[in-house]
Amino acid sequence: MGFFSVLGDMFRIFKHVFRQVFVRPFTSLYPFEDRYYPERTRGRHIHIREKCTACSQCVRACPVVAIRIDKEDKMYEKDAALYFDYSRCIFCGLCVEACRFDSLFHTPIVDLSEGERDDLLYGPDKIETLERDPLEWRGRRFR
Amino acid sequence: MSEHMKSSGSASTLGRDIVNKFPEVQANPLEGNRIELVMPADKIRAIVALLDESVSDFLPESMFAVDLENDQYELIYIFWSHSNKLLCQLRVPIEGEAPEVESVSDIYPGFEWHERETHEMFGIGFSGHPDLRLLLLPEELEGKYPLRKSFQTDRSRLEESGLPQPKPKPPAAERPARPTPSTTPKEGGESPE
Amino acid sequence: MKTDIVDDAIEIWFGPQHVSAHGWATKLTLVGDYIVECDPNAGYFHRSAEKVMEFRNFRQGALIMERLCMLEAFLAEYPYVTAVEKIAGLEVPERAKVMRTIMMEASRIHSLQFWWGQFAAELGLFTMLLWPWVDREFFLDAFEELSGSRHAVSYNTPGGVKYDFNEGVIAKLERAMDRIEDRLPKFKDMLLRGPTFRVRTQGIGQFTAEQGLKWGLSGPNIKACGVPMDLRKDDPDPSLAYDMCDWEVPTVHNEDHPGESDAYDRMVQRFLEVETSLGIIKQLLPQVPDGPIIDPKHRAKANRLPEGEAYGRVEGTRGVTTLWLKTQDKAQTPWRAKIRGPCFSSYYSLKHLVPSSKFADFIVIFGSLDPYPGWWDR
Repeated sequence: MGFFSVLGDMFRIFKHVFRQVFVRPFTSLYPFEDRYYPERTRGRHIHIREKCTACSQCVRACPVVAIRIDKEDKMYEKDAALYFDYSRCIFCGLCVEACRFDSLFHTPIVDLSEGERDDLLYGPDKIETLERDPLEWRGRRFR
Repeated sequence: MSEHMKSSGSASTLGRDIVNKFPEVQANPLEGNRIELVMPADKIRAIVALLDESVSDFLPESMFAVDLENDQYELIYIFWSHSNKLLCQLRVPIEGEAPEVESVSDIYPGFEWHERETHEMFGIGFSGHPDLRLLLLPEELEGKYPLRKSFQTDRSRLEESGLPQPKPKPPAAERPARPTPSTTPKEGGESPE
Repeated sequence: MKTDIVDDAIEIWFGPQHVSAHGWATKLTLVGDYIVECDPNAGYFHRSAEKVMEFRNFRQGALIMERLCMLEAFLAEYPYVTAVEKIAGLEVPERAKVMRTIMMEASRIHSLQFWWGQFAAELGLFTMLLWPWVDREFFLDAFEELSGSRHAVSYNTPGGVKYDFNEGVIAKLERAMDRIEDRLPKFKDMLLRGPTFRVRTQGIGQFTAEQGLKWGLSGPNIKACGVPMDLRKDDPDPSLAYDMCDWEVPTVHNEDHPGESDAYDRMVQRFLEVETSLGIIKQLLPQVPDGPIIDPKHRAKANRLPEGEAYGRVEGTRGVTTLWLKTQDKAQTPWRAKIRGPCFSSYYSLKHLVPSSKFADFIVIFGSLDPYPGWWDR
């Protein structure tokens, strides 16, 4: 263990230190800035009610019975109100795959945390709109 | 590694050897180098010992029971030999309220837990097995045999899921011997998870 | 236990609260520092997957399989999918075959990276816990870009695959592979050449290939004994594309104890596995043909299956993973599905492997078999 080998070790350590100083951080300040979500991210759903024909294929495809359909609740001529239970949903994508009328999609919004358990049951008013911008409400909540 | 097997290593040769020794065994060739041997339950131990003798590198791949309803079961043993690229499947039809076959866990220790699991899930006894305690199930399900078709899943939370109530099954006497499963995925959604 | 043999024998439970015991418990009987009897207990994770499968249709069943082992999700759901394809008579398009193979190998690398970290942490080297897990994130990014989910990918489906490759996926896969190739020599340096590692793993948990086969061990645990038993070569699956590339089954031949493997050999074997998988992906990525990714008749055919039995098998990260499926005529759900998890056998084999070794080596032996509780509890 000579003097030069110690010097070499120190040099290697300094190299690492300087590299870490100038590298971009891997982490992000979560509530205020978001990470990159790919286009195919399977987050919460959005239901486009104008195109829905109330065929209930999504209900049949769901493996965990997270979707309920209310055929009485009619806003348009042929449509139905969907209720999504996000305390049960496993985000497998089978309902979106089963929809042949392009009326059900995933969105890249994945932060669904709520204070109350009942708020996770998304009724027709909530599932049809993306009324809250996730960045905005998250910021409000953590500030 | 061909010295592992006395015969040439093909599935048909193995089947012929076994049928020659045990004429009650029926050999059905499957696609590829695979063979299925259908045998009575009292011969299983002798035949597994013979398999162990003739092919020395058999991997005890899987062993399980299938419920065919009306107290009829099938035991299936699957062996895989790497050096011969040979898959051997034994099919043992058994019947009875609490049927019993001989354990092969001393010839192939890998089957010890498979037999334990089959015992707790189907209620099939294995005579000569070192311990038949519960493996996967909790104590309150002992003797309930959950993988039998007659086992009733928990339907206590069915109403809150908003699903239609399943139609009650006709009693066993009126049912045909092997009916198609009447359960659809929607009815099964209430099973305990 | 016959505690009357030795008066000072004590029984202790290893798990389920122990940090290294992620959901399992083993009853050990010790005399002094030596284990004389080991009684592995399963069932802490039992979710009754086989019964649940009987109530789910053929598209939903693969989701249960991948939830048994999230680390090798692409591999885990494959036996179910291929069994359904065999009964339904679905033709997998060429493009889907190659894409499946690539993603399955990527998932194998990802699972092995997880294992390095876990094994090293069980031996006490926490740097090695974090480094491979950072690289693992790059594979997870690729999985997310491909399917929209990091772990529960739900990618294979009867008849083909669900999501197509695009430039982003390929770029992310290549980035992940470059990263692991860059870092592989470093990991080898840390794990294989580290003196503490050698002392703690060499000669520990030694068994011969014959013993291992009798216990039902397969995969890297058997390949480390020098037996090239690999379903990718032995039983080539027509709906996978392993024959499109040139590769050899990696095995370890240790001169000190030929035909046997210890914990160190199994560690070496898993490094070789990663190199093989990297080679396969590299050869297959430029060869992805054009065309459809799913059989056009998959909706009609996988909805109701004819009567039949099929046996789907795949060489998983931890060994032979199979699923035996039986259907009745015009069935929407399986009549019986039997999952064979590779770790069911490796956990059982502790009963024979552990006795007469030291208590401190127990976790080394256990970790070197690459256990995953989801596979034995199902």
